[in-house]
Amino acid sequence: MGKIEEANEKAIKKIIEAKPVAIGIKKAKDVIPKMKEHMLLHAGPPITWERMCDPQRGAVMGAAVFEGWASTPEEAAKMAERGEIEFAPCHDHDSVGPMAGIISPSMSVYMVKNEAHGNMSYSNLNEGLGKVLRYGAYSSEVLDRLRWMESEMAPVLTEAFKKSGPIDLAGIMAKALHMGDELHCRNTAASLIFMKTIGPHMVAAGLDKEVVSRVMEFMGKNELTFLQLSMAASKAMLDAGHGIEYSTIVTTMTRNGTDFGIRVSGLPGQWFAAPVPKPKTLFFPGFKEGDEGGDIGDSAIMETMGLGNFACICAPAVVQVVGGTVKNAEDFTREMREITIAKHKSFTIPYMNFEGTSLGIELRKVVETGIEPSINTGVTHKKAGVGGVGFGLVRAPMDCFKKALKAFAEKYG
Amino acid sequence: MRLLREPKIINVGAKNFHDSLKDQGADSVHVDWRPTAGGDREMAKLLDKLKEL
Repeated sequence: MGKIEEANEKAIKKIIEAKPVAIGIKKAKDVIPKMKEHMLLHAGPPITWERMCDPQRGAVMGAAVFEGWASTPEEAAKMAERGEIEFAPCHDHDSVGPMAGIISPSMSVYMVKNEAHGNMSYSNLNEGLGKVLRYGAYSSEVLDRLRWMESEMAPVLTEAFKKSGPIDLAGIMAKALHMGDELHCRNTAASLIFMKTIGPHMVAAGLDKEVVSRVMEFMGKNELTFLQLSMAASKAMLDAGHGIEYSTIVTTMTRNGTDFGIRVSGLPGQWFAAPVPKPKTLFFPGFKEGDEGGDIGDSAIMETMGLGNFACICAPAVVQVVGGTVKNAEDFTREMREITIAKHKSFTIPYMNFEGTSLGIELRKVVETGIEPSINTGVTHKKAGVGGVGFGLVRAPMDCFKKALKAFAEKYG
Repeated sequence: MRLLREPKIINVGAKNFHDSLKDQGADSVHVDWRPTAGGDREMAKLLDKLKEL
C-alpha cells in the first residue's frame, strides 16, 4: 500500500470513529477559539469586504447593527469599508455557518464535541426560511428575530441541554437518512427527532411556559432546525480526519458567494479557491432566473461528509425542492461513488440495499475523472436585503481541486 | 452473419454519437469514458508522479 492510500485509510477510520454530540449552547465570544470583539466569522474561504458578494455584505451589515457596533446598516457598511470589522472564515475557527454564514460575538452557538477524539465544532441557531440574516436580509424584522432568539430561545435551549446531557447527533442523522432526509436541503425528519429528544427537557427546565411554548413552536415549525447541528456534526467528524500527512481526502468544501474553497487533509492551513458558479435554481414564487446570487455557504460540509446531494437518493422528496427527478437523485448518488474511496458504516441508504453513504472525496480521483462534486443548496438573491429565492443544484469548480493537487505534488511529490 | 444484419454498437466517449444512433433506432451502448484529467497534461503528469509514492 502506498503512502497516500495508507494516510487516506487513517483519515477515513478517524472520520468514521468520530462521535459528535451536542453538549449545549453559549455565546460565540465565550466559546469559539480566537473569536474577538468586532470580529465576524463568515462562510467560505477567506475574503475581504471589497470582494465580498452583496448577500454576504448584507448579513455583515445586519450583524453589525445586531451587535450594536452601528446604528444603521449604512453605518455598518462604512465601518467595514474603513476596516473596523475583522473578517475570518468560520472554518478557521472550528465553526460552520450556512449561506452567508455570519457568526457575531454575541450570537449563541451550538457546541458540538467529537467524543472519540475530543475536537469541538460550533454553529449558530437556525432562523427559518425567507427573509433571514443568513440569506443576506437585514431589515428590522430580521434583527428583531435574532434578538428574540437570544432573549428567549437561547435561555430555553441552555437549560434544556443541562437536563438532557450530550445528544448523539450521528444517531439522529443515521435515523433521518432512513426517514427521507439527505441532511442538507432536507432536515425535516432530523429536526423532528431532535425536537422529540430535547422537547421534554425544554418543558422540564421550569422556565416561563409561554416562553417555552413560543420557542417550541418556532423550532417545531422550522424544518431546518437541525441543519446547523448536521453541519457542526459533519465538521467535527471531518476535522478528525484533517491534518494527516500524505492524505488526499478533501475535508472542507465551502463557498462565500465569490469564491469556492476547499481544504485537504494533508495540506493543513491552506485554502484552494476558484470563482463560484451560480446554482441551477428552482425559484420560490415571485422570483425568476437572473435573481440568484453565486453559490454560498459552509453547508457544503454536508456533501464533503458524503451526505446532502451525495446521498440525495435517501430523500426523493428533495428533488421537488431543488429541481430534477428521482432518477437524477439516484444518478448523482452513484456518480459520487466515482470520486470517493469509502462507505460510511453508520450512515446507510435504504434504496441501495443499505449500502453506506459515500465517504472520503479523494482529490486525485476528482482531477483524474473530471467529475466535480455535486451539491444541493439554498440560493440567495444576488442583492443584499432580499433573502432566499429558492433551492438549486451546483458543482464544485474543478480549478480548486487542480490547485490543491499542484500544491500536494509540490509538498509530497 | 447476424452482425452484418443488426450491428451492435459500443460508443466510447462523446455521448452525442450514441444519442444520434439511438434516435435512428440503432442498438448502441454508451461507455462514459473521458481522458485522464480531461486531457490536461500537467495534471496527468502530477497524477502519475503521485502514483509512485
